[in-house]
Amino acid sequence: MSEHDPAAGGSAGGGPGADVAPDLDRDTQPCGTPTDALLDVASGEPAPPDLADHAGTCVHCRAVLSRAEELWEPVRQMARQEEPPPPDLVASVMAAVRRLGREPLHLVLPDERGTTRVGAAVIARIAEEAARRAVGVAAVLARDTRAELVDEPAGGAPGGAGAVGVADRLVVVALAVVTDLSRPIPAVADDVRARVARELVGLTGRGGAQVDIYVHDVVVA
Amino acid sequence: MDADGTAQGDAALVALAREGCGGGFEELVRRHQTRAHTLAVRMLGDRHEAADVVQEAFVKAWTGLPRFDDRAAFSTWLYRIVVRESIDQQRRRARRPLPVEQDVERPATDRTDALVEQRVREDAVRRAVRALPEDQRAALVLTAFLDLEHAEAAEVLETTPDAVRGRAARARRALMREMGEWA
Repeated sequence: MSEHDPAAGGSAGGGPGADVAPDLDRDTQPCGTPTDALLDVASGEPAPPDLADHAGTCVHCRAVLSRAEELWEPVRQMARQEEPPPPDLVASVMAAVRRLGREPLHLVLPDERGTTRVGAAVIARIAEEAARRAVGVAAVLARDTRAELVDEPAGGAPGGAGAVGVADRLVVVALAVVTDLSRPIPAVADDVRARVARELVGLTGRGGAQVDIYVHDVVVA
Repeated sequence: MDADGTAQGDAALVALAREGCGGGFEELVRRHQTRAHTLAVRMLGDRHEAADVVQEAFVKAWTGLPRFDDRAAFSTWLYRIVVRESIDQQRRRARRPLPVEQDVERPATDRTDALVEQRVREDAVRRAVRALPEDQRAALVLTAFLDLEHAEAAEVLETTPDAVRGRAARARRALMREMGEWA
């Protein structure tokens, strides 16, 4: 601590800071030690070696350290305590998650002049129409995934909100597809994904679309 | 279980939850509810508000799972949501007048009972923490109360370890001086 004034420091005759009133508001102590450095040490930060050496013998520093440690003790005690959550927190969270699965979702398209909301059923319909144009698709329905998402018995019909998920800039659509065996299933799936993603991004301006496909059946001509 | 083991277990549960497994997500809630609640209580200084904030944070975590970056720990991501929700909650509260019953009495000279004294000191700490600027408060709570390393707290707050170190130091000094006013 090059700022220390040795003449102002010196050994304490009594206990820590016995005859010195600590002043935490001043920037530096009479010995030249920055008060902030002492407060850091009192709150548990490691002391630089030169400060540790000096503070061990300086009455001003010892007085400030002693006072600061006393002030910091309630914080230290609080840091040792955890705050138990309400006993019903887990149940409340899971109930909210389940409610979320039943609420109508919509895609929000913010604009400086107002906000546009596109209902989940509209997104599902756009996806169905785009998927239907893919070669190899005989039939397609937006597939309700709510039951799987929340571990509840299935209750929704295809084409509802459960077929569409919205997370920030990502739209997730689940489709049930019937193929006609004219193309390999992976190729059909790729084509469906590309068409649906292109159509959704084109119509909504959203950055990304994820398309989950469940091949439900095949028809043989 | 050690931190690495917990993180690996979390990763498996996150993968399950992403597949739509409610049970996987429920286990994540069970694992992290106490730390998340402690974080919110320390950020807000109010248990009722903290419970609401933590519930909302977990629901946001559920809806945000598709955006979760697997390279981060689930706890880091969750704490980030809790901190943001707590700050939003405090901003909403700032627009409302503080109820009279939340005002903390200064210790009276004739109150010598140790429990009363401790309670008053805890209230003083809560109030002083709540009065800190948002960035300092978050850095202090994560490092001093949740005992996170500067690097981990920096990840939660999306800043650098040096920035966390500086904010936490300013917060500690301000808190100590404020406590000096109360003592």
